[in-house]
Amino acid sequence: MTRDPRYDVLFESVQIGPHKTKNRFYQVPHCNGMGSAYPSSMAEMRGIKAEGGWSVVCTEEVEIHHTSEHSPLIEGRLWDDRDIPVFARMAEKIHAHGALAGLQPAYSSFTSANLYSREIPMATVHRPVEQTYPIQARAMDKDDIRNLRRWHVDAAVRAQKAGFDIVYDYCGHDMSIQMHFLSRRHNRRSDEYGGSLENRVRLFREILYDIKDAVGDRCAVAVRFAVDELLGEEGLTCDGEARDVVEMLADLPDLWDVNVSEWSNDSSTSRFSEQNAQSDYTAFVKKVTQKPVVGVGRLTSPDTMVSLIKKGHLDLIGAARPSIADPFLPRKIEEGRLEDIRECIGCNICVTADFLCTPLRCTQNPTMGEEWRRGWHPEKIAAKKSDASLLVVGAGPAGLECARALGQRGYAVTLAEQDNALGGRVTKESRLPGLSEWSRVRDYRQLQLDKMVNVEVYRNSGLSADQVQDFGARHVVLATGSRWRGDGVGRAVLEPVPGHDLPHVLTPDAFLSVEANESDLHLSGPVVIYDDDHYYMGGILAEILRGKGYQVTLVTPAADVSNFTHNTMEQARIQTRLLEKEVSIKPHRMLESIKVGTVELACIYTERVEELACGTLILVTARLPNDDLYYDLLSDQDVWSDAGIESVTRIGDCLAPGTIAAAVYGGHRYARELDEPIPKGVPFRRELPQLAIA
Amino acid sequence: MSRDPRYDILFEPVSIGPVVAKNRFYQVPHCTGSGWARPRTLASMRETKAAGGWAVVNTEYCSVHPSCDDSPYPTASLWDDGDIRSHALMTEKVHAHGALAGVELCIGGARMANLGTREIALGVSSIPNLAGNPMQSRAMDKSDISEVRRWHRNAALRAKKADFDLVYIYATHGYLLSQFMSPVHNSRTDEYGGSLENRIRLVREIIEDTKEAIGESMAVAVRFSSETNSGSEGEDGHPMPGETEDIFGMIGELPDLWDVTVNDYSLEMGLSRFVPEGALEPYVAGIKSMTSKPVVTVGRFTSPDTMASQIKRGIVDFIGAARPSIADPYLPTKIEEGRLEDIRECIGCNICYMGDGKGVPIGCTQNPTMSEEWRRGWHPEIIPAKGSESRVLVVGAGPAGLEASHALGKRGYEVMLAEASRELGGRVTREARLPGLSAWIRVRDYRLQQLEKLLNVEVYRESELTAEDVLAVGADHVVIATGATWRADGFGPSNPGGVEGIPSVETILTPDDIMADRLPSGPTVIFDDDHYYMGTVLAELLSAQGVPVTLVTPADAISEWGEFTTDRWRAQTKLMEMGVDLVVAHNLTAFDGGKVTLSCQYTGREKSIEAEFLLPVTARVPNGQLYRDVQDLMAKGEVDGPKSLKRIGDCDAPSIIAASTFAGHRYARELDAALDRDNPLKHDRVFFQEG
Repeated sequence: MTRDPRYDVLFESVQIGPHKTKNRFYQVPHCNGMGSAYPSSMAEMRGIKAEGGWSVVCTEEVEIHHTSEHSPLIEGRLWDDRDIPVFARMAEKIHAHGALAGLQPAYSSFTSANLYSREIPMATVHRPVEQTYPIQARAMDKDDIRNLRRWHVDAAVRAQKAGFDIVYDYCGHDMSIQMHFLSRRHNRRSDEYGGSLENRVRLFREILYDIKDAVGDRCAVAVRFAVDELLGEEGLTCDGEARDVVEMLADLPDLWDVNVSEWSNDSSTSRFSEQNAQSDYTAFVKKVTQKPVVGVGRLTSPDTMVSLIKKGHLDLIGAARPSIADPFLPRKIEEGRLEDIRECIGCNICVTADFLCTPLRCTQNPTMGEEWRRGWHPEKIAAKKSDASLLVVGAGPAGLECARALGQRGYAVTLAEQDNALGGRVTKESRLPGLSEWSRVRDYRQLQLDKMVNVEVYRNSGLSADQVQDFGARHVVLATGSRWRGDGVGRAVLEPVPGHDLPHVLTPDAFLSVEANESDLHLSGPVVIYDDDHYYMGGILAEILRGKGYQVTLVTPAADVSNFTHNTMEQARIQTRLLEKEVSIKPHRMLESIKVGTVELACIYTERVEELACGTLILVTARLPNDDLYYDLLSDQDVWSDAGIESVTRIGDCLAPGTIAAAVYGGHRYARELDEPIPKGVPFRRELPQLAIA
Repeated sequence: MSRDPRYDILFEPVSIGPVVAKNRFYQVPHCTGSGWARPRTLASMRETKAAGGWAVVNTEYCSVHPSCDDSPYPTASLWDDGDIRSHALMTEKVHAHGALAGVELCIGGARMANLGTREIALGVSSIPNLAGNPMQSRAMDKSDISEVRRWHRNAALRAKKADFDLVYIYATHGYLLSQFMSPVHNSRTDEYGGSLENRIRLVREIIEDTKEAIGESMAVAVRFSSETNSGSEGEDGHPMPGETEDIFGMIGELPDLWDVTVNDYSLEMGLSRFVPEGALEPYVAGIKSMTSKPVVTVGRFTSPDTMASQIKRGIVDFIGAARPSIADPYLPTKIEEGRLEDIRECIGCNICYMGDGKGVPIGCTQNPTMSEEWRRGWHPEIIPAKGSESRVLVVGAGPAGLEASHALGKRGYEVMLAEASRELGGRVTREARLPGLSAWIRVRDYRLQQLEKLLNVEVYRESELTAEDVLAVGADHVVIATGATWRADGFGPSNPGGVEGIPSVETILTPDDIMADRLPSGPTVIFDDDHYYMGTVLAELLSAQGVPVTLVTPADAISEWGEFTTDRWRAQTKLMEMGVDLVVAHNLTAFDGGKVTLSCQYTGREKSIEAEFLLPVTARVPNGQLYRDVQDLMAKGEVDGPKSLKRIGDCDAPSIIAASTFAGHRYARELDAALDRDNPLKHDRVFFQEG
């Protein structure tokens, strides 16, 4: 296959300062939870992006000095020369595939508390640091500013020594000191760095000059700039000060990397923003500068990309999340294999990894973060080691990925699904408001399966233990999913709640089933949702039912709604939406008992009990694995050898209910490990601290 | 000096199975915020404990397998032989001082989400992750149980290779083994569920496995909660022992030592604000009658009299400590040498626990050298002699100024400490008068006692200095530690430009006013954008005096950051029980002397509360005027200034008290020291092979 000529424009070279890109695909800086803690893993992951066709591959935020470090978050670290080898390895892996390497030095000001180094953070003015640490940053004086500039120069020189081609001046996301100086909100100085815009932009501009002076002959100098903070008059706007700044600096940098601030706006989930949501804000930049412009917008459609280039909005197609979901996205467009693209679903599981300080995860790409430690490549997988036949029961995310990866290895696979629709929970959940893109988890895999002659898919084929035995596959994989519990047991309540078997008590499954017909549910208000799950489901059901006109109260033992979604940067949006729709929220309560017409709630602090009127109660607490088939098979293990069955294995939610990402990963892992030697002990390579070198 | 014979009993050796502890001081396993990622930071920290006289020094919880991965919280690990060298570093250093080294093996269960390793957590049943992650454990089957036993055994064998003397079986705190024992969590119907005999089967098997594997040369300890009712907790001091006696009847003689605690972390490692010294006694008192094996427990013990009494009365055999050994790694040595006044007593603030919760090496309010032993080369008791004959003027005797003077004094410098007021201690003296914070005065008291012994340090009270005065002293170095002042304008993280709708009126009070006894006389709104203890402590104080109080915070929970010190839970409970109104997720927009206007953090909707007084607890302004005045005077060049002028503590950047003592100590350490300002600390790096 060759590429569609419509996409030729995406493969044109772009000059960035002293360097030329091989095409227009540009992986902008993004966090990865590996950084300085898992440097070999990080370097390998970046190398894979370059192999997949990205012409520029950048680091994450890189700390440049111990007086601004992100602990406990794991970011890049370039504090001194001993940190250079890590970045040199990364650059080498990127260069091996003809791509350019970019490094983003970041100095954080009041957005990092320096918990590890115990240094006092510095900011434009005296002020408390973010995230409620009881620590204040101190106001910077002239010496501090001189030092800060010097540290940026030191970092740029180290980046160049490490072989980097592009060095950033970072003024974005409300997370760097350059931006805090620029901001009227944060900068209340009365010296030549405060007051007028000319003064507030001074530090950003000085650092730009400094970096150009230091390394500009060999490195391109890029700026990463927030063109709008979506705060109206309170912040930078694309028709106000942000535009003025672009006009002031116009052709000084070699590249403009532009986006909206803060991070939760830049990396908004698909639940709240569609593809290409930033174009209206960033389009002006190219009109103001002659230099190339890169922008993002969770772009996965090559047609949209082409249109952004042709309309003159962008020169380079920036991506973070789409490059995580599919490191080979450019190659697939180039080779005309659009159906092979694993499109980002915009769920921000990747972001949770950064917040939770673990290597990057991705719902669509189970190999993300596993490239070095397990040797998993996103596109390549070992050929089968036997002629074993496989039966995969259940075509949800785990079963689909398992069948797909086994099929890719060349095994003969039969995939049996009891429903007519494939996709299991992603098909059901993608019908919920805002989650439609989640069906991409199914669609990518279904398209792949369609191409595989060695995989047969049977729909409407629920199987009993006898049928599985009769089928006689050598390996049986059960991916039969899970169901929501109806007894209230979760984190806060450990024993079934009295009254849970009353008819007005429902679980999310009632709303997720294909046949769900609202009138069949016999809903009556007021509706109470008891959310001890804390991810998206409780909040979404509240939104749906409120939308249908019911009076809705969301009760949760947590302090706020959908608490875990702080880690996907959605929590504030979810709670705001519910409050605006007049959903009543009762935090810090656990479910005590259920009666006809009321529920009893207990305060988790004082244990005081209150009654709440309740016509319908929806329990969103925990799930139970659908593992009856597994235990039926297990109870009849004597017949396995006659039936030719060597193994029966559970994967995904039927093993342990988790995220969709965990289910896809479980399916992929099964396929990778079949007929391969079982590693003794730790099943992946580790990155341990050195002891010898002081 | 030699020790008081009353304390002889604390220095008796005690056998633990095949090994002997040289005395009764026992550092129980405690988190460090370092774990497997920072072995050198950790080994040197543990070494100072051994050097300071603790007979037993343990690791933190140590994961036995990748399916027990508690990331992002830093655990130790013994997953494979690659982990041995890190532990060997620690055991070598601990043994060098004649102490025993122990390792607390841990199987996670549903408490660990395996975010790093992506393994599925094994649980007694399939329940949601107890740390709030959207994933569930899976119910262990028979082969999982034998796997878990094998992992634990392998880890014990590795512990032996790492030269440990003692191995723990961790059967409490909600980790897997305690879930098996629990009648609430364990709903199994096989031989591991149902009867008590069945529920303790796995613990028994693992004790037996461990004894069989390493028991000949190493001791086997069990960490255990004396409240096995699991699930419901009684009031403080009223144990709910559940099946404890029956359990001891079955396995009481199996291990070599019982490390006994309770389910409720906020009691076990209670803040001094809520929990007194020795609070576990009612929970532990009966244990020794149930077993012949030595028993250890904790209780923030810092008084040698209390310790001796615990032993004499037969409550315990060992004085367990986590926090007191952090505040003073040399506590045993100081008792032994009869230097009681040199003990840096733990103040029970739990700043150490914050380090673990945030995944950074633990710090300590009292001991600024904690976790700095290796990376900065700081020893808690030894400090290099002065590097010059310089005279140093310290202005301000709060925690930063006191610690700077104390450490400079120990280095041998001639120090003048000038304090504006009559009282020394600054903020700790003022704050120690607030409800529950009396133990904080120990920050002052330890340093004052030390200063009294230092002839080269002169303390001047009631000596407020002007810039001219400062220069007239003619010191070679001047360090300003003049503290900070609470703001009245609402400026804080949620209002970085201040609050426009706040006039400057007398009915706006700050925490400084309250601490100076300027109290409100009517309904008061406390606006807490500080999120630590001050807001809730003041609410408690005013409410107890009969002032109607509403506590408003822009966060979703009150004392939000107090989650990391365990302030939050007990503070909120207490305020609710006192009848304080709590309003969360609301920002302050205006106050007109009669009502406070608030706006919802999510929707921006406004509401108002009747109030005559507003008490913003938001941020502080450094008291930096003197520093700037001296700077200006020096800039004029008319008088000879000092060689250096520095600010430390809150007058540099307002922060926690631990940051002030750290800054004061650091100033003293770094005076006349050759140091790369851009690279002052060593840090553990990941092994990274070139190419």
